Amino acid sequence: MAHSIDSTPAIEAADLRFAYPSGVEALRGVTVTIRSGEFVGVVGQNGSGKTTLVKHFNGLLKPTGGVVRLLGVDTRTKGVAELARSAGYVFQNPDHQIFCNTVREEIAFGPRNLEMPAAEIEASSRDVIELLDLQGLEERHPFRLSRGERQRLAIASLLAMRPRVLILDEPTGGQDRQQISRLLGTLRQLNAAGHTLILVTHDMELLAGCASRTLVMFQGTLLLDGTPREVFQEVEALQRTALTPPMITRWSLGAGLPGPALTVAEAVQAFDGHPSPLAQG
Amino acid sequence: MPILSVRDLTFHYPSASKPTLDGISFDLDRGECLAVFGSAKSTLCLSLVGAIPHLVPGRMQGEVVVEGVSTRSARLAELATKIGMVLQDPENALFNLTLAADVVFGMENLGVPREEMAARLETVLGLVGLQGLGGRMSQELSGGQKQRASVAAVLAMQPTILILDEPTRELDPLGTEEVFGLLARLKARGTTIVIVENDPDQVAPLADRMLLLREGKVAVLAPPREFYATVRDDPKIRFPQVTDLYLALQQRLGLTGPVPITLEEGIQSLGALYRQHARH
Repeated sequence: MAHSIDSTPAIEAADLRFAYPSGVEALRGVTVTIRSGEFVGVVGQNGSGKTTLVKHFNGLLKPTGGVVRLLGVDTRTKGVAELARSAGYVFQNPDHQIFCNTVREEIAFGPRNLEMPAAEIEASSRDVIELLDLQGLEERHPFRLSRGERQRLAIASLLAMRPRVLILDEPTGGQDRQQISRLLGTLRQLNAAGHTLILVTHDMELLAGCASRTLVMFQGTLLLDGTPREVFQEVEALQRTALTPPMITRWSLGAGLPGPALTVAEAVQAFDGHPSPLAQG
Repeated sequence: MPILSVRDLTFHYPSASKPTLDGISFDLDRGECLAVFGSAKSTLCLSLVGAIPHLVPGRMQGEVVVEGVSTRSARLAELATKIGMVLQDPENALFNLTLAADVVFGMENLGVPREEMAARLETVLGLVGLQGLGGRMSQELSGGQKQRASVAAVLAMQPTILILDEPTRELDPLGTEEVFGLLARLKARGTTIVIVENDPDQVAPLADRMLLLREGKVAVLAPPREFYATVRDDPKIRFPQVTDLYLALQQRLGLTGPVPITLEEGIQSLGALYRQHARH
């Protein structure tokens, strides 16, 4: 059974179009397949359609043209609540999704809604509290948490429902370097455990450090689709979108390294004479 | 004489067991830019503009002197013409129908004469790159335009000091570039700037000095190069990546030159070094 699920793409969008009632076309024909277990970053300026795109992946928005399938299921045939079992969506502002009186209740809310058995809710809650580093805060009121803690709580609440696909919209706002790197560690762990991760972000450093694939949105279309290393070399296309690769990537190209470095660690290695990951281009 | 002087500033929120700001002192000269990191950044910003002690409950000790006037004795309206604060989310500063109405709102409250208001409106819209857009609905502006509009509303009150608490948090990369471009122009015209900003690529070239607060005290106060070298082991602060690279290589390669903080500096110093290494 596990095998058959894995061979079904996590997300399939075919000629996806979306127009607001006002007639403004936010998506103008996007075709993309995201395989199960991928870690995909979605970038673009505000208004490029990136948030509109990912909101289709769990049925928060339904296409006005074309089709979106989540784990093989046409999102127009199911309600948002049902699709939430398969794909969780973490809002940019955690306060838009937090509403219970304690951290514990907040985390149990989703699983309870899905009518998970009590023992499973208990186990799932324990897992996510540990994973998102929320131990000791279980009885705290969510609005007495720091912004970073609320962000982690928002992720924990969705993960408790054990969705196979996790969509995060700008999850690092208001967090310092240490919190960002912890969150990254958690996301990598989730990805290694088989979750498909979709990360919408403006932070190219973050993207370079975790995503295996990058989608660049521009004026409602998918402009670029490739590994971060491939995408960062598309200088002209990126210029059109006014996106800038991480400083270390620009440095490596300016300094004459054999290929673009994605992280500071890769650049350090180049000084040690290990240009291998860079040479792959 | 410094344009802004903070003397032994301590602030205690009513319910807190310890002071949030604990004996902070520093001076800023005209046209200087200070970037603030660490804890209690927002509380410091509120103290600089006089919201502490005038609006925020708590106990303040020490003094903040803005252009020779102590915030404790000044009226807030008087302070608004000397020091202005730009909010994190521009939506909070834009609540009128049009851009022009939003920009003149603060001036109206200060009782600026009508002709003077019209003249200042034109000037500040030009300054932030929104000339000719005064009749536009504020809600139709892009994120970067909105934040520049909220800077314009503050500038219209003609403060000499500008306080910005994470002004680009809600913006996309394009909007962020626009806002920092504007700040560089204002600084060149002599505006004094205090900014809380996490994006090191933007803030390192702008700041003359950087301040790290730890447990409400001044932990580090230094120019960017020195600052980054001093806080190199602080896990919370983001560095420009070329600075990170330099610090990672420093010991191993025995680097002694100045720490690079911009892409251009990094390409110059570390690029040459890389080419030497590549030859071997």
